[in-house]
Amino acid sequence: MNDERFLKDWLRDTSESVSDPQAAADKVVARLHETPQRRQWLPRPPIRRGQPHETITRRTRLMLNPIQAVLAGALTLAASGVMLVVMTFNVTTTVAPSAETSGAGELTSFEGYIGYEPATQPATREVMDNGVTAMREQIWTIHDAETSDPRFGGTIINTWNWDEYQGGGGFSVWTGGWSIENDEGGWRERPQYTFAFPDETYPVITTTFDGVGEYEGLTAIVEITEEVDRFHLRGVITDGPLPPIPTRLRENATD
Amino acid sequence: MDERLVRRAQEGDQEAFRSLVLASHARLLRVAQGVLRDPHVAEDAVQQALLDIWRDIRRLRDASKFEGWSYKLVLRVCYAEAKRMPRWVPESLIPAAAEPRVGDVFGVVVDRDQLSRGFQHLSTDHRAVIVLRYLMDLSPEQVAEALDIPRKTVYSRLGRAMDALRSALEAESRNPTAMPVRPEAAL
Repeated sequence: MNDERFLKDWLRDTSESVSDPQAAADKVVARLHETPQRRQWLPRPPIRRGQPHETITRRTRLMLNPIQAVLAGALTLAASGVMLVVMTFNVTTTVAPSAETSGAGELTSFEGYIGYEPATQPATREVMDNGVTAMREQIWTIHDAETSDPRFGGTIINTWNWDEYQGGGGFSVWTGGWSIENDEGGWRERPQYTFAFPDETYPVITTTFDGVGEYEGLTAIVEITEEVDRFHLRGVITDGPLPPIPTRLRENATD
Repeated sequence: MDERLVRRAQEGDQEAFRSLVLASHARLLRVAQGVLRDPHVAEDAVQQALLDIWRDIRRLRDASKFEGWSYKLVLRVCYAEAKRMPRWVPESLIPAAAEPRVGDVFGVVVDRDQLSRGFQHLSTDHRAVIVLRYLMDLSPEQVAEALDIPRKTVYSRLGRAMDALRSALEAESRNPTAMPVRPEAAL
């Protein structure tokens, strides 16, 4: 008897159970009411090509809590005080224009949600020679964006390309991005690569959007967290230049 | 596995899910019992895994993959249970072999009680790969899917698990009364 056979026999003989499946099923079913089913996972997405962004919805909800409001008020007062001092003493400050300088532009924080909607264009799906399932050009249109800053609301369209690695632990790698449109302008997410866990959930992602239309020159940096049936957003919108990329990284990039 | 049952359960049909439980329970319990080596803890783990399956079943894209996916979920619970189990498992709690046999295997002469004690010294990773491959007779591809690891890793992990078991049995044969449980293997 070899090792494998001996081990198999031992495992089989010691892993049998006398449990009653009917009783076990009863116990499980009795607890289903306290275990809500999670919604079918839908990839985070957008852009319906060649089609105008038709419906513009702007359900804005102020989500600043009282503490944030107090802090905002205090900051405003502090800023006013500084201005008063500057005016009183006739002090002027000059910042020499420089590509290296990060100017202090106006920055506004916001919070909100984007709900799930059914896909408007299913992805093409192909299993590659290496076993990877390649899904391409999935498109989502979402009309359910609520944020505390009306600029970051409207119709959201998401598009993505997705590679599912069955043999790689079940993780997936994908890229894509959101496009947001409203009456004044919109936002375009800078595409980046990220991944999804084997159970098709997402890590928390921080991503960057560039403003278009009336929002040209603005940048939104947004943290996106997947929840049970929607995405939670927290972010800032700034009109100032962003901090420059550190010199060392820029040098490495040109090597 | 009847894929129609899976799809009905995805639509919230509790009767269909009950049928799935009946069809899957014994299989999942064998895995949990094989890994955890404690029938009571294994039973609880399977109960929890079945509730997890109900919670997440809508996220299973391909109904034909239900079986492999369910292994993944029960193992996830087993890993969590294993972390909570005491580091030292008294020998009295180790299931006694129903019919002790002696075999010249693993390079040493062992009986089933020795094998039970040796298995207690394996890490959860090693137990899981052995159970899926040798108890459940899954293919390396299926083991890879259930463990979320590349197929190549299945082979290497299985090899390391068997080496670890041999080492434990050799130590046991040299000194049957004093074989400490390695902390990282103590579940």
